[in-house]
Amino acid sequence: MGEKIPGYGGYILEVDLSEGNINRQPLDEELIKEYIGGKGFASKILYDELPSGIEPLSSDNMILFANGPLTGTLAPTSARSVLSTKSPLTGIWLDSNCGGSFGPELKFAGIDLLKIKGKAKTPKYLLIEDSDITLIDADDIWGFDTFKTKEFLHQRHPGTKVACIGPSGEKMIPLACVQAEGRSYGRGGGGAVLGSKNLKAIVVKGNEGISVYDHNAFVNSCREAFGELMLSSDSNGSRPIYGTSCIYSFIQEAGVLPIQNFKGSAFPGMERINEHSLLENLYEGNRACFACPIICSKHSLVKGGKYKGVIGEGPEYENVWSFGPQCGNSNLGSILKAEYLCDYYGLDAISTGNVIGFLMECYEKKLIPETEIGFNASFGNDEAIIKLVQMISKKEGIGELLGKGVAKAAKEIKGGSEQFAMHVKGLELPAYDPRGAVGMGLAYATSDRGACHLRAYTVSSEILDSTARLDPLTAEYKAELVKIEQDWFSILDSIGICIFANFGLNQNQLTKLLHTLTGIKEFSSLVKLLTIGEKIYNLTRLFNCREGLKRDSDMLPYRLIEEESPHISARNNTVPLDEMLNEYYFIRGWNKEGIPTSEKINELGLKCHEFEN
Amino acid sequence: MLKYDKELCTGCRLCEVICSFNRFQIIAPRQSFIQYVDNWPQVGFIDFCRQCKGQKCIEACPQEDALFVNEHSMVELNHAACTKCLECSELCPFGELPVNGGYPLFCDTCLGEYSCVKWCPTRALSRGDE
Repeated sequence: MGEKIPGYGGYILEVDLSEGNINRQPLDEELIKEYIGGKGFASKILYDELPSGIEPLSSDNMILFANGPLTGTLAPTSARSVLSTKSPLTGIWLDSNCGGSFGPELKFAGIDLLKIKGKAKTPKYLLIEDSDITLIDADDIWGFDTFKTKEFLHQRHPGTKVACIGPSGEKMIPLACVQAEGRSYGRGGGGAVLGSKNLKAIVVKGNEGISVYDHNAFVNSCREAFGELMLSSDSNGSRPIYGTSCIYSFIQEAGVLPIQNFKGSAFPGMERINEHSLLENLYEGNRACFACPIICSKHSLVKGGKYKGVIGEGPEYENVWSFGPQCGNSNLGSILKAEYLCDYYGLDAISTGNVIGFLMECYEKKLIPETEIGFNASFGNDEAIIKLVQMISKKEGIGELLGKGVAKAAKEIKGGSEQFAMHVKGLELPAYDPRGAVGMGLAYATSDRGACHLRAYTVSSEILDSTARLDPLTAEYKAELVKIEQDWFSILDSIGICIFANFGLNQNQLTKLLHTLTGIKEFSSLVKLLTIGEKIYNLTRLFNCREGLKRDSDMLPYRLIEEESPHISARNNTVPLDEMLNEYYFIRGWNKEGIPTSEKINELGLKCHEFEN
Repeated sequence: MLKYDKELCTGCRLCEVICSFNRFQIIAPRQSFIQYVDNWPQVGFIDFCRQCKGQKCIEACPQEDALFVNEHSMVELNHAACTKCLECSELCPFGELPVNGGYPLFCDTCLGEYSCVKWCPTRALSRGDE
């Protein structure tokens, strides 16, 4: 084996399930310099190797797991890896980021990029032990829930880390996720893609090491970064105490917490599920992802009531919302139970809660009769939420329709329900109402995977930042902010660092970590990195444009554009999307239809012949 | 010797990272002399040799010269004589010993440098009495 490139595992592993071929090859240095890792790698590979128009659940699709150079190192929060594929939920680009310990283990097995193609004839799982890589029959575990799968595979292959699908992925439900050691590659239906390929799990154990370019400089940068995070009011303030829900009350007071499918302003008992209540009534202790000092993750136990005894990691802010306010539900135990079931069956808990809230509004508006659902599905009915999660996970009754996602459900239910189907490009909205923080409206509308809060997080500048706040209710400066964040977050998702580190560290510190680790001169300055980030974001955009998307896809749900916010602090606001979009396209160098111009494509050094004039 | 307070541990594995980095100049947690065992959704525990006074491992070892007390008064493994039977680990009163390539690993506190203690973000690891 030759000398490895510092910071990298060194290999691309390509698995063709149709042929049963396994091919481990050294990583191409040009790919590294041009695209860094993680999401960057994925953008290049999917753009080059997935022709437009392929069916996401067919053997033509490909699914990638990609690490960044910082993944699995001494750098704080270096737990992150990326799953990427063409989404069966949206039919467009998908990358889904996961913490925990699975990505780092892949890296220790030498793998920066895992490419899975084709379709196995019978259920299989992939076992990776450094360079020993085998496909093993999975008939005996097909049908297992994700916890049982993990436990079984841990016992059979001691010391390994497991990413797997549950019954929902096997049934190719577009809301299915991939579970990895208690955490999820959650959004967009990656679990269904693995299911369509008959791949139940990826099991990894890695004994190899990652070399470092400049030992002392890297250790010093890490030490600096840890120190900085400990001084940050975000990473060492309320986040380690309250978990990701630390923002809950701020978001609610700002009128940005969506209630009852984005139409309500309050619901009975809502104080019972805020961050203080979580801390007092639910959290049992802390739990960190790999190399993380922030410790936003909690493990919980329901201590009383009808859900007594339910355990789980979390609940995360997003899922407190999706099974709480989104469904008008203030029963804390049921929220943990619903999240637990999503993990158990392998479902995206954001989309699942969103679509249940949507159904509840349809029920309230009598667009679906009770007989068709089988029970009372009013807002706030916690037992209905639990039943619906189970029905979605098993494709039972109305659950089959809901599992296709809110966009397709609305198309079938009709009756004007499209106007309150809360999605962008088919991906369900997360836990921020953009009428109270309009930058998030632009962020959702222009996110490469559909409605997502992690492509740009303007909430920081609009609501949470106490020193340099922007007016959350106007369009001013939002286009520029969204563009800058999208480019920078593409870098975060490519280097393998958690977005929460970004709230405590400045961009130069992260650049220094990357550069002292790899020594690659293309990563030596922030300006160079931002150019790569812009290139990655343009490439995922071009992937979507090639699928036929343009301006009319960069839309928000009718409710956010035409119906005034129900929250007092959002002062009857709606999202001025058109205004922001025009400015955004201009700043991006995209034409009026939202397609990158050939000047921009050339400037970024992208070779996308389809789009050259 | 190294002390561990399980209550403070969050399972972040920085001890593994810095241990391998200091010893081998590469980041390779599987080769580390301190290893975390998960217990989802709760935090698990870490395995490492405490360099305890009881030295049951030496008693347990069927080989004459596989385990010995070195000049720093610490238990050390002679790889050439070890048969990887792991009797030492089985008899360890503190749990199991971390293993790499079949060999048990005995923490030497980085010869008093205690790098894991320096990097543990919650002080779950600390320096005990010598």
